Amino acid sequence: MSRAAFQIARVIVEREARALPRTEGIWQSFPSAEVIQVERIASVPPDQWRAGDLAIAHFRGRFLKRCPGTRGYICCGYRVLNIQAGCDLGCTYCVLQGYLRGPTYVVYANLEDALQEVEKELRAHPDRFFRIGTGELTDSLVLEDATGFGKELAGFFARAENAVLELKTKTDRIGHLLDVDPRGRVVLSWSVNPESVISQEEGKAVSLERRLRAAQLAELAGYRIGFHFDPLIHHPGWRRAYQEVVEAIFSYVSPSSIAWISLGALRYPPALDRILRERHPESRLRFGPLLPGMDGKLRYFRPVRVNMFRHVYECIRGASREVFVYLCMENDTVWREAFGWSPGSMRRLSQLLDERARAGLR
Amino acid sequence: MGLPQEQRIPRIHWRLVEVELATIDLDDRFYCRSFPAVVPDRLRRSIAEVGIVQPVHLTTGSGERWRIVHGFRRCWAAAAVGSRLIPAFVPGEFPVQPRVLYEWTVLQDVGHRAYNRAEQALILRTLRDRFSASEEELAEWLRRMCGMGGGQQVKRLLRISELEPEVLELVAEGEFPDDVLDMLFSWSQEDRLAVGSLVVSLRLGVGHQRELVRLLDELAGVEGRTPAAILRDREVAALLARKWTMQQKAQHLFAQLKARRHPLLTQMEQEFRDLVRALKLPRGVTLVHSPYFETDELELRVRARSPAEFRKAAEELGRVAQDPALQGLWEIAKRTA
Repeated sequence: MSRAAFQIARVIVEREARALPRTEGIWQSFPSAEVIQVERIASVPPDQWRAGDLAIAHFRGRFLKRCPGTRGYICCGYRVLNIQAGCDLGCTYCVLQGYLRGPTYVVYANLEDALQEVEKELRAHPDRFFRIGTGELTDSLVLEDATGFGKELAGFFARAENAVLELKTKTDRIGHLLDVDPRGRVVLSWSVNPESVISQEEGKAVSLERRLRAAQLAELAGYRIGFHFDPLIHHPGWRRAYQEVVEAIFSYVSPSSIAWISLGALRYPPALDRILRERHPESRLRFGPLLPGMDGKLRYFRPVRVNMFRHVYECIRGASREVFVYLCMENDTVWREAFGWSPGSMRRLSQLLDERARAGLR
Repeated sequence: MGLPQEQRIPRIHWRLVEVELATIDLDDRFYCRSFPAVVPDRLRRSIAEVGIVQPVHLTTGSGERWRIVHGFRRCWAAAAVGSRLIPAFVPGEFPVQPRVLYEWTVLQDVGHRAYNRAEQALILRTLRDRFSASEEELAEWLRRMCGMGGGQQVKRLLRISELEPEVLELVAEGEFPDDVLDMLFSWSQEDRLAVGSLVVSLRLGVGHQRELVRLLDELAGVEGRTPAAILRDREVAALLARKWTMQQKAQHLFAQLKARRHPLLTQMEQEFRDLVRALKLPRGVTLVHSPYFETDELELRVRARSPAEFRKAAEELGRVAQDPALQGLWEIAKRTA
């Protein structure tokens, strides 16, 4: 799956999760790992967790939430379904480095509770359309071979009337998903960047070519495909590099199978600056033209972002007039300057994306 | 483990004697806590006039001569002014364990003076290296010295204790916040010294220190040079040599570094200022762009002390609104992009 497959050294199982039907299957995927049972993972002192720990827990809170968005920027009205947390792909810019403490991964084995919650929500609002993703706190498919959650979710959403599921990844772990008929209700998405950025900044994530080959297979299996140019990285030669990424995408995947493409420029909370400095001293990201945005996060200076968005947008338009392209967490000014139009509000952007999602249902 | 309790430190019986200064080893700093170890002029003058009023504390050392436990500066001042005999307390019974004496002397200080950060750091290192104090004991000693402790603080202070003496002097002099120190730790000695000296000489407050190390760290990355090399640049050296106040120097230094770190932003700010000036806005009226030009919204502020002033400003604004140059304010970002 990756340049260096992840290593799970210990599986820590919460007592309440021990008897759940998925638990044993998950830990047996790591035959050489030591298995430890604890009462609650929350009660394990932070200093006792080690890199390479995978915790299997019973989640008691709400699985489905609105994407938190950020003040002053237009959100796409996405919902997030948090069925696992953590990622060890090791992208230098990953905000999870600042947010998550504890084991490398936490997997919530009571997936049926998550599915019930989603079903209840979908039924309670039959007039609404939901775009739901699992990639807020993890890479959606990084543990797919061990959990099979992506496949279960795909099967579930394939039957949903008013929702699509998006699984975002930087891996090519889609083998399990290929025998599910998604009925236009599951979008498999890849975060993309030029190969040079991937090798410098995206740790153990697979190459662009492998991502695109996986996307091609997914398309053949009937999935709709999404691409996220996120984060766009400002670096010497970025124009040519991103143009080549766009060309590569359209050489692997047909525009008619693409549900959407999003663009988002590098942005991160100031606290990540220190993490970048200490954990990734070789990374050049901190030296980009970054300034505080309206939400306090560091972002590329507006004219720089506009320039990048406009360029990638034009490259995409050069390849396809119809693919829906949107900006992730950008303000109205940037939308207008980069694309020549703006949805103006989260409501409108959400509507546009919902329409796009609905159009692909089978 | 735990707080160094009084009962853990046996009471030391001291007896008052007169000691010949020549019998004291003035170079021995085994128990010294002061950093930097210098004698203030006023202490020297006072001892020259009236001699040592508060007896020093001495103990026996490994050699023939007395070892100073408490009162280093008084002894050095007495030597400097040519005293022959000084009053001193020496233990009534020997031997007293060195750790007991060291802890006793720190406790004596805590009641009378605040240690600077370099001193705290060196004391913790002495307790750890010489007396094998545990991490918990160090945390407790830190609490004793400054009212707060914790493993993180102890670790940071132990790192401080390993800084070069020149940098340590700057730490003793300046009020470096933790995040600035953490940045300095990651730099070379030359960079630490250059930036530390500047912080001290410009008397930069905490906010400005953070700004300075951040700008220098980023500029060093962007330009592929070291912070010290950046500060040696002719333009920087020239502005620091100007006959300005510290505040003015700091202001110009930050402007120069910012212009180098964010040239596009600086260029846009300048263009914006020029265009606004050319519009000749009415008195009391200002136009402000969004922070870092993050959006294209401009904010108009009108200050008026009477309806008449307000009307006048509004009328003149009508004239400004017709000025074709006004459009230029919204074009700056587009041109830059």
